Amino acid sequence: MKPDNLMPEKTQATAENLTDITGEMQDIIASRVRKDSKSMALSDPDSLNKLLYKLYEGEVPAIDFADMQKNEQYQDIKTVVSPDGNIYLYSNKYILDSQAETLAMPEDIKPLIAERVRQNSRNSARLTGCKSIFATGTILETDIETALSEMENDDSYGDIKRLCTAGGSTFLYSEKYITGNYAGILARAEANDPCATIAETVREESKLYPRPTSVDYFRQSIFKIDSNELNAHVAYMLTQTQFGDIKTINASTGAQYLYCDRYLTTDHARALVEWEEVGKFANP
Amino acid sequence: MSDRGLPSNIREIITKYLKKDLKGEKMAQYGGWTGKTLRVDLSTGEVSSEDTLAKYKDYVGGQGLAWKVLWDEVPPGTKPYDPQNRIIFGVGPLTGTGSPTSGRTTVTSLFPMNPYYLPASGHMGGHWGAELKYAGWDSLIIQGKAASPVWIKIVDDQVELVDAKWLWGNGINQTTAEICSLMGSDAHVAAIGQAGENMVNQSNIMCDLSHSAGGLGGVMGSKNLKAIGVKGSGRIGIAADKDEWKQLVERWLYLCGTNSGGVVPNTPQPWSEYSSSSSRWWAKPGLFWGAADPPVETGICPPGDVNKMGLRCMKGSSDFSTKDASGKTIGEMITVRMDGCNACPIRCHVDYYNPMLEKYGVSPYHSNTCSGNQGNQHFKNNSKDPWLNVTANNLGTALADDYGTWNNYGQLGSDFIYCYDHDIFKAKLPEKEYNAIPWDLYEAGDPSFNLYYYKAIAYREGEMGEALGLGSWWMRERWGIDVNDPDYQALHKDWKFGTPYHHEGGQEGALVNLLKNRDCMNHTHNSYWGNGLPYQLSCEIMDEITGLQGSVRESNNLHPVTRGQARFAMLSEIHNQLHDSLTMCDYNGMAGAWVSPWKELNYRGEPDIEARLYSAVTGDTVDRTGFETLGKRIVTLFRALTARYMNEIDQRNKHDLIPNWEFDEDPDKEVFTKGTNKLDRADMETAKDYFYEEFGWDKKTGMPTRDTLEKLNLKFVADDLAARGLLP
Repeated sequence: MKPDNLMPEKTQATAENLTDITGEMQDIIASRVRKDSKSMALSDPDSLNKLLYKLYEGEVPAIDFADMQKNEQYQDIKTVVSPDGNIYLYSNKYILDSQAETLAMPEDIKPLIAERVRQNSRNSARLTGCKSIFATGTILETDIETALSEMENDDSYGDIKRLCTAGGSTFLYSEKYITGNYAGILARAEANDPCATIAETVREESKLYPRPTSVDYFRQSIFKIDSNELNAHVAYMLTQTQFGDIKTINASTGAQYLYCDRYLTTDHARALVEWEEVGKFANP
Repeated sequence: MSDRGLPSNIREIITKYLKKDLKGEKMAQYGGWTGKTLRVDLSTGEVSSEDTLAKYKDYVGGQGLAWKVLWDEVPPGTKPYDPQNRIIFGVGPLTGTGSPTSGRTTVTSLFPMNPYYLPASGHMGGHWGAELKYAGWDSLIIQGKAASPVWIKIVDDQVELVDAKWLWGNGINQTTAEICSLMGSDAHVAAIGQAGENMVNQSNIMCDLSHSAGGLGGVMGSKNLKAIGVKGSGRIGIAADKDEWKQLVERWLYLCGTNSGGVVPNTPQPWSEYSSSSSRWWAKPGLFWGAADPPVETGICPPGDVNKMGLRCMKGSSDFSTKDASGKTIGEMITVRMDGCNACPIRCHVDYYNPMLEKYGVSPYHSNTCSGNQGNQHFKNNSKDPWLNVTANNLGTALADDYGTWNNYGQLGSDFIYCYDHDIFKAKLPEKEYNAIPWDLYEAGDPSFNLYYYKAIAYREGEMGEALGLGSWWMRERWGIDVNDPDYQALHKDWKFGTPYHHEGGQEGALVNLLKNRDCMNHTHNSYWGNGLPYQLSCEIMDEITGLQGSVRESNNLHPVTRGQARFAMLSEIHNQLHDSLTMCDYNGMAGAWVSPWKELNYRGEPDIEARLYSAVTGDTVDRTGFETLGKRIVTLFRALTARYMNEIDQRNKHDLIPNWEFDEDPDKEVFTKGTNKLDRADMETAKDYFYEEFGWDKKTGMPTRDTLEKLNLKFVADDLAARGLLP
């Protein structure tokens, strides 16, 4: 946008005149934001900074928008954070807060969802909770749901997978960086229910491989179970009827294992545990 | 160990018995092979060169070449320590080419521990084999016996027998250092220690200080051969176009897994659908080479990231898994780095630093892997102090590797514990000797007991050292121990001929043990079990490989044997011996060929990739079937060789024995029920039928038929067997 009549004479920023210049700049910003808002447009701080750099030669002080809003004459200048994390300014003389949130909404949130999910999967190998995709909560769940449905049929988002837990939570992950089974482990750990995490993992291992699962296996950080409390969780779980299919067995070394009797018999589990604890070390 | 240093008149002492310029020999028309096989006759001092391709190409190299040498040159009735016996240091067309995992050397001879002195091999890694190729040699055949101790010096075409009287009596460390001081630090040395010199059956040959070929040190000792030093400055030709070769190697690196065939990580990791504690892909966040400066985190090492392949197999934390109060394994704390063999991206050798070793008079630095890192396996009780426990292990390994003793894949330790538990020592040793043994140290798991134990074996000291050094079979014969004593069976799981069992799986695991003359060492088979994939998936993949159903049985859930299992066993034997012939590391199994870590490939490998590597290197183009036929020829020759040394046609019943415990274990369980791997006698007879048929052998005797032999270009074998009444 062209500065028009907002443009003052060019001033060289120096240490001495910095305070004056700051006030002057805040005026310029407020004017520009109000002008944009009149046109129902949000103001991008980057554009505002570019404007200031153009107007002032030399070092331009950073403008603290929060500080600016403390000034009575700029009370109408507000900020809104977009779902993709960008900050915009507007004047609530012309734009309502709810309107600002809508205006901050990108036209297509699918790339944003995908990028956020991929970032979490790639950089920290973690799931992205559906409800926490956008920090501001400005996007309706229905919008996210719509976007996810569209993504499922779009090859460019083929790596984005959805995972629904028994507890009703939905998580997303990028298959490029996290495999489905690993995502399953992460999702179980997210439930923050150690007994359920242990039981569901044991069931899966007994069914899939099939193999009994060492109690020590759950000391790995991925399960988010406090090692000091692990044995107590296991002992408690084994008393609960909903985990009645989970059985315990000890190797001759004393190591404790768990198995699911839907998929492994006691004899089979015992033999597998003995190989795991003793036999395989005799066959290096 | 000797403290003798270099004599001042060293140059005079190094007598060149013979120096023969072997240049000008015909070069190979193929890639891979140099075209020349070196022969050294220690009796006459003659050094000669032979045409590899004319004599041995049909047998590939390494193991196959060695079987042919024994067939041609070592008649039945020869004993391991006779001058007439040969010892063959075999490498193959892939060795020295940079082909992945090609750093192995197969050392073959009549095996002293075997009750029939049947032929067998020890397999060593390191860089010695590749260096032999760089020096221009496809293999080294040694015969005769030197009049006094010598070592062989090989520098390219220059081959000399050098006086070794001044080296005799030294351990392997000192010997290696002395020879390197003469040849240069870039020389590679294979040597024996005092155990080999003293013709202890349980002795090994060690190259590059920590890579051992088990059971054959005594054969070198019997020939007065202390060591072989090699330096080569040549290169190995590769038939394929440079880019084609590069792509093929990169493809293999893309497909392969880790040591012992694992294609999934040991712990759950983002990149893998599966994980398994049986996999040796130990790398994970928070697991370090703890004694490196600074410590190196193994971290996430996904497949495809070739620069992290060397971090995958963090074996230190497994070989020394005892934890101290910090909760970390001592192995992690003492591992300086993972090391390995020539051209191998999978580093399975643990280089470690344990300062406690200095207290016992050995270097705090040492290297080894797997069974080699079981220096305290004869201890009935381990020290309660975790550091002393690991130190006992490290000290035992350091002493064994210097004296050159071999533990027979753990059987030596098991024998010791059995004899201790059953008062055999008390009964068999002279009272004075028995009372002089520091049993208090043994019972406490004190590392210093090892100072006594290994020296006694290496020097054949007393009745105990003499008997233990003979090997399990001969020790039992000497002391009248009944192999069928249930206690012995329970502890040892002895297979046959004084060798321990060495396999996983049900019937096909037993089948891969049948043919061997030592412990079966079939990691092609074992590694398939260690791949870490779910059983159902593993089974599907192997069924595709064999073209049959039910090729892999679920552990402890056996069913009557299938032809698929027999074919799996046959292919395992074939590839095992091909690996030892090419050479490729059998410890890597068929990861990359049968399985891979890639979900997009549905965890399949490329079954013909080893045939492609062989073809690309040599220019002798074969497909998978042709490649496997090469393997079948090698295995079939081996079978004929065994029968000829035994003078026994009924290999099925006289050689291919299965111990009673395989059928009688778990007496409270029925065969083919969940929870036991016990076998059924009638079912295993069927399994043998299938197995022999897969090879084209006679079911009644387990011997190859004339038809099969002739199809494999082994007519001369058929004729010989027929003349001896050994052909069915």
